[in-house]
Amino acid sequence: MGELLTSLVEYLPFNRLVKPATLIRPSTNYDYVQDAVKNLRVELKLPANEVVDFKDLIGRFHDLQTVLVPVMWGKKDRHENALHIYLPESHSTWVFLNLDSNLIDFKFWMAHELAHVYTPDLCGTDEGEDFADALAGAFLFPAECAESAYTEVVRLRTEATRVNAIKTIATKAVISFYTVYYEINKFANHAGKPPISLAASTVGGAATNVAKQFPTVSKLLFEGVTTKPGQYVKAAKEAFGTPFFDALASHLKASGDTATYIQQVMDISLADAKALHTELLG
Amino acid sequence: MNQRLLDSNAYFRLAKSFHPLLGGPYGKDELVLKVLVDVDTEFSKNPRLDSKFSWVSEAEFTANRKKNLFSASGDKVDDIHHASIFIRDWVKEQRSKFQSQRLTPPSPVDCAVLAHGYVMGFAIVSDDAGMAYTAREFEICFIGGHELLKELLDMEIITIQKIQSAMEYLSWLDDLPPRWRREAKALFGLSLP
Repeated sequence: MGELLTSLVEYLPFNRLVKPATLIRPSTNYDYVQDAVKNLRVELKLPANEVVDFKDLIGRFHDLQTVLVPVMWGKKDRHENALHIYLPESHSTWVFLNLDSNLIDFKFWMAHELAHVYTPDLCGTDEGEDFADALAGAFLFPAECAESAYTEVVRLRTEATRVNAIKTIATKAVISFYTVYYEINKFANHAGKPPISLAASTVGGAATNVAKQFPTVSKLLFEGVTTKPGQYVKAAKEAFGTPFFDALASHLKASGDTATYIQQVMDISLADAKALHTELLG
Repeated sequence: MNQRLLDSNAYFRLAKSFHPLLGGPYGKDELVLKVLVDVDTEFSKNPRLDSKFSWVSEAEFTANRKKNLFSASGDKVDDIHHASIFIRDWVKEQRSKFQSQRLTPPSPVDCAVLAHGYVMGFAIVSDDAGMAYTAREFEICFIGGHELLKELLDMEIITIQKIQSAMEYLSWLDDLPPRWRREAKALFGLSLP
């Protein structure tokens, strides 16, 4: 996929003479991650307790010269919902995001991928994945929120009431039950307080229940199971500000590449690739 | 039996107009038309866009493909696997050559199709110029979709009227390969707009 993306680099509207900003010595240390998140929220003008919308992150990706590629890959396992590709020769970064993911997962993966963009040197390493998970969780539910949630939950006596309280917090913040639960306990651990301990099966069940309340991003954007190729390209450009489709159209016109190229570069069905080929060259 | 293996795009181009396309044996040459499991897998991904190409995942087309999948057996499996890797590596090395000739390099699935032609001696049916170039390099028997139609016409499996309407349909889709257009007159006596 990376090799195929190289053909699109020349059509990107980015300044290729400068390298985007990166984090210095990234670490999963609690204070480091919280500092990074605080800076990011300040840059985005998002107070710690404000609910993050995925649209808040789009401008940041653009500033970091990252090409967002919104794709519809259907229902996938968690780790297949986002893909980050860094091409060192062109210093270009590509982030594929599966619009068929649930809204709360989608936000998590966007924040996770943003962390990867800030840490190109950790690309492909376990360290990089751990850092991206830590930054995403903390960005969506910072220490201030975790502290207040901990205070609320710890005084509840039974597991059922604790689970319900966390579910309510997660639903209100439009984030996963997992994120709230883990961030509460990371805070507790850092502050030397006893953790909130729930059975793994309870956490899984509660997380599924919270997720079910939210639609997929594709459903939010297109209000249906399928959409016309033109609507998809328009929505992808407008909602994500991506230069991907313009670059792809320019490449197809210049190279004469067929739908097979689109199929491979976007990892989509040949039927959709043919539909996009017709749309982009039409 | 005379096997013909279609690549994804050739299947796409012919299957709607000549349904059920895959099957056989046809005629005295016992022509059999098949696709690879890998090709079928490409179509099993549900289209997410509502387009004029979405028919490919409809039940009747899926059933016809499932009934006509080619699957190698015995020693040939390993030979095909190795040929597939070899062709894929070659395509990768030649990428700039493909680009300079404005050809799309064959995808990994296309390489698997070519590997079957290389090892089993089947004719590969494709209209892709990148596939044609690769097939020539490896001396793989290769015919265009329109040449397959000519074979079927000569065996009286399909009619000239059907070919004409298929060509008009492909022309409307803007999916008529240049070779079809150039050779339609000589092969079928047809003039296309």
